[in-house]
Amino acid sequence: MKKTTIVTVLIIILLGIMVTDLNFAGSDVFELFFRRLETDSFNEQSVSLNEENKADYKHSINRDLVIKRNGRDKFIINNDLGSIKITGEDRDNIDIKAKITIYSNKKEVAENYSKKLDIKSLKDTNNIEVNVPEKNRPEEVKSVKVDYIIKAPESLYLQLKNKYGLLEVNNFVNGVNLSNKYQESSIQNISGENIIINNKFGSLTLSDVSEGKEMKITTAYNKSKIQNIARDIKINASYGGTNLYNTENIVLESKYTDIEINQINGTLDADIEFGNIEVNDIKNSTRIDGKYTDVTVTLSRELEDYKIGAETKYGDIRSNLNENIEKEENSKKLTYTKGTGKKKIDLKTSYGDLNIK
Amino acid sequence: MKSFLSLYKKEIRSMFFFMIVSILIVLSWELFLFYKSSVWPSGLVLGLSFLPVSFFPLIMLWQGYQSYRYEWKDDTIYMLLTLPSPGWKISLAKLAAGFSYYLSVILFTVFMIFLVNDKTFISDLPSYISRSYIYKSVFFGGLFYLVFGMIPYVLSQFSCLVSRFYSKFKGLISIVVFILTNYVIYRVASLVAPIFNWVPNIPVTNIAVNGEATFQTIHINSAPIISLVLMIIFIFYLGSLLLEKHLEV
Repeated sequence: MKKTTIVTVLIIILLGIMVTDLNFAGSDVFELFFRRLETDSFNEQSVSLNEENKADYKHSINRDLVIKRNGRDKFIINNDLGSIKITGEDRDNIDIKAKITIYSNKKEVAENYSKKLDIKSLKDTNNIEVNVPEKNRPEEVKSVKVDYIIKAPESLYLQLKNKYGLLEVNNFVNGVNLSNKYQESSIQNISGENIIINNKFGSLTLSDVSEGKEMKITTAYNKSKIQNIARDIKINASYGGTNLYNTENIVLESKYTDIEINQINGTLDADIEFGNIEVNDIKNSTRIDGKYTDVTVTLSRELEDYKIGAETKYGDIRSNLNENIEKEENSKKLTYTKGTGKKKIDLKTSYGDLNIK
Repeated sequence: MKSFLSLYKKEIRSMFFFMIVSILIVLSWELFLFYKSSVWPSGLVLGLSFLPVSFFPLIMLWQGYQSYRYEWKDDTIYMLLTLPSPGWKISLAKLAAGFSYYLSVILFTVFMIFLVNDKTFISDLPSYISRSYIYKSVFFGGLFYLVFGMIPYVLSQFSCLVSRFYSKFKGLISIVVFILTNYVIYRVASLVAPIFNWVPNIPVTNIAVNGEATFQTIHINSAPIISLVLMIIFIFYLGSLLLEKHLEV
């Protein structure tokens, strides 16, 4: 057999294999190679404060502290490295268990320094602040991580600031001011006057917030899931994705974030840049102003007496309202009224499409 | 060694003109940016000064194909195959010359980038970005870029050699073989990678600066990289074997 024939047969066979493989596996053919490059470390959230904090050795100790409340209302923790798990209970004292981990390249230094570390509480007339003071920290100690597990009276107002670890807060009735960075936050069953939540670089799960004053949420560089909120929300979201379910009035400001809202019982006032928004089951007045945003809204069957004013620049309008779409130079407009038109649905976007269902 | 050197010199001579042209194009571009540096923002000049770097791997793709094509075009393949040198030595000389070209233009471009740009931003870098971190990142980034550029060179060389079995449609066959070879090396490298799981992983430290600086060390599995390199060596050897034993001129 001629060499050219052999080469041709080989090329045809390989082409057949490649086409069949691509047909069945699709992009997985090449993705598999890059998936193989991944190790477990890709999914770990082990962020260090700085490069110098990397250490060969770690030593952990456990410390306990019980603090009497004595009528104080506010509980404060500023934890720069570690986690906080706090549960509100019907009790009068604060039960704190802390696991303190010392990172160092020298075993002896870590062990000796651990003996000097303990949980301390600072009290004034109304506040209780808890920390682990790092006095006379040897240079060889790279970092000190504190993981708190706390049972506290549910009527305390919490002011917690945490970094590089999980923040878990359950069952508090007098409001919270929570901030977490670089790890996940899970917040459940909260009530009270002031509720402020700030979460960056880690996912946020927030659920079951009772009626009350408007709450404020700031999220960035993360995915947030917010559900069963019986009060108004003012939310500022950037660089991520936010999913809201079963909420009251929402004031939203977002950029570079995809938003999905299901079952909104109140009004929506949204300003969005560089991200898409989908709102399902609209029952009340809604205003959405987007830039570089695709807007998709689904009207509730319960919705009566409404007026839609929709406009897009450099985009399309798709609707099943059987209403004519006006076209002007670069913009398209749709106006539709049902009943008295009492509830206003104003949808505006540029460089994006409007989908009205 | 002597025969290798003479082959290498011959290859360098053949691509010398192209190297000079490449260097002159880079020089003109960087001088143009230098001229504009007083008017344009320094960040823009810095970014644009790296522009030639994005074309070099494409040039290497073309160079790999040309390295054998011109032997047939100039009828020098007869002489090349009559030399008492094995195929791998001929291919290696071409690869070494291609690498020399690639390295020269990269080093020249880096030198010009260094000259043209305002370097004050280096001293303005935050203290948490240590010098050792910068040097390490530049070294490994450069190494990755060098290897990244040589892969298309080897694959297009092989494609050109396979196309020489045919008297017609050589260009089309080269393209088909190039696509096929890419498919084969990535597919096989993915499948055999688990064999090399015992090789230590490669630690990479990332910085994210968003308000606060954070460092995160991730480990890249070295197994698929090793299997990919072995596949490239195999393709290189296969090309050499075709040249030495199976191609008729």
